[in-house]
Amino acid sequence: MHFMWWLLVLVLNLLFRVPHVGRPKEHFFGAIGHRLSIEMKVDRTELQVDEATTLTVRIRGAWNPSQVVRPDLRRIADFSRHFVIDDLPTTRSENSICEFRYRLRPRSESVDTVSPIVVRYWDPVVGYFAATAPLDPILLQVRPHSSAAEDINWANKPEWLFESFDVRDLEWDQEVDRRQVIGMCLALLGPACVWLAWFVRWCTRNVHRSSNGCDEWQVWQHNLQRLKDEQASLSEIAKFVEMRLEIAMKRWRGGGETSAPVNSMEERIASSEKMMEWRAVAERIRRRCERARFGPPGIKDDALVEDAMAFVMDLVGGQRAR
Amino acid sequence: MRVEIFSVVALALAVPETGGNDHLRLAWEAFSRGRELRRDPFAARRSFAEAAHHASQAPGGATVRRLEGHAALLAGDIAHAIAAYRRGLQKDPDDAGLRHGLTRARSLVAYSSAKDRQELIWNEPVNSRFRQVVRRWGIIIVALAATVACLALRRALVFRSKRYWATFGLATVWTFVVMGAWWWERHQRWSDAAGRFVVIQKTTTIYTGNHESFPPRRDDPVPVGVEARATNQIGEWLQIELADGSVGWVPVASVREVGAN
Repeated sequence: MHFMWWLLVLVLNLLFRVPHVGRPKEHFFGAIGHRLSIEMKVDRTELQVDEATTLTVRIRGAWNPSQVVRPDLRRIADFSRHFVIDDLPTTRSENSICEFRYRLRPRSESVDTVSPIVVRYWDPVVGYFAATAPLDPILLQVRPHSSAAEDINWANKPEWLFESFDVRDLEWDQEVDRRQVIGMCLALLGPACVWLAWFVRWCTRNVHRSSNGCDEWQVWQHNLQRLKDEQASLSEIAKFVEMRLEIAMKRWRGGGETSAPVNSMEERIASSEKMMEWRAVAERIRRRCERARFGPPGIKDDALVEDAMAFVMDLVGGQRAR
Repeated sequence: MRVEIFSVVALALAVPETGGNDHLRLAWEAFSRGRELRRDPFAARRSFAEAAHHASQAPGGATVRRLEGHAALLAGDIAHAIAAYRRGLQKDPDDAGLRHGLTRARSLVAYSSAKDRQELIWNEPVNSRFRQVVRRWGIIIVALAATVACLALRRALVFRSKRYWATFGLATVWTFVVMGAWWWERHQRWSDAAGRFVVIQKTTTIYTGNHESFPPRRDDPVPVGVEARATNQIGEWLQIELADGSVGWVPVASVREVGAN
């Protein structure tokens, strides 16, 4: 019996081809047959919004069931407007029945019917594209969401959604923008402020190094004044004065350090007429320094600092040294 | 850019609001209560809805927005959850919890087809490695570079060495480059936030004009939770652009604003 049916379909398919002329653009799914019929049914008619029901569409009497394509309900406005549609696997029975299944979820409680699907097919017996559809729409009763339906979903909520929050974290987080800006300002200005504090201190304590373009004698004089203010011991002051004078005298004799900067003032001193007199004074002061350092203990020379400073002032031109 | 710098400094110096703190505490209490009432879905959902409401009133960063998003999602308000997660991601695009939450919330949107789902979800903003590093380590890098610059300057002054002057120069340039990148990254996020984003909170039809008499732009109504960019507003109608590039009009009441930070 099955063989006979299969043979008949094969012969009919070979004999009857669907013409291109007049082929409908819509609702034609490739079916060929004589007096086709369509059935539609849903597994439940009472449901809630977004709750699924299965729609089964059965096309009976097609001579070419294997060539009938699945009707795309998403292209049918009545369906796509009212339902969320998912395709379910197709069942094709051998005795000319095509069965298509869909999962429909109503979008709102205003949905009340499943509209009939119109199927157009080629009828070779009468030679034209006929149409068929179920007689009546399927009536639905769609209710709005109820808490009961949500309760089923509730059990499926992932655990991370119930994350435990610490109120201190939240309060900290409230000010996160402000803290980021303050953090950036601190990152930039913090080291700069520490450096500035160091620089100020360094400048005041190391004038001879920090003053780049200052005259050597001027710096020496400043440091001598600092030693005096700090009430340094006589031998310490004497050592400081002596070292400077030795350098100066070496330079005047032409044996100064080659790396020592010789500025215009040094040149002026070297070419001065008072050079001999200065050398003599420097030598006298240097001897007093030696005596203060290496002479008998308890020796006093309170005027050493004043004399050394007076010498320098005279050397660099009085007003300038001041 | 200058306006932004001034506004950020003003923000940093502004006196914190106390009202926001009250809302935050109420949100936290409601959320904790919801967790305790987990076995009673009806009561828990009410608590989570309350938490989401209070959290939306409170200013904050990623953690506050995560609480808001989780609470809204647990209360069943997908549109609110998506808006909260998006707002949080503007603050901290690296927050895994926010990204996870947004993905979850988007998965609950009832698109009419898989194609719609693919087309109507906005692509994630490009979260490049460079921006991530600048955002996360910018302040620390600036602090280190500024420290190195100051140390190098100190030694350069003491030892008068060219090597230290070079180190100082490099470290200074590096400090300002990283700081500039940090400001730029911030500015970019502010710019993204300045665009008005909305989330559909009531299933609605998109029309081609600002009245229901215009033909619909799409065959299907747009489901709750779809994100869109607002481009114009006339009266009670808002012009929106969907992720697939289609532009249409919806009533203002049917959308929820993501809100800028």
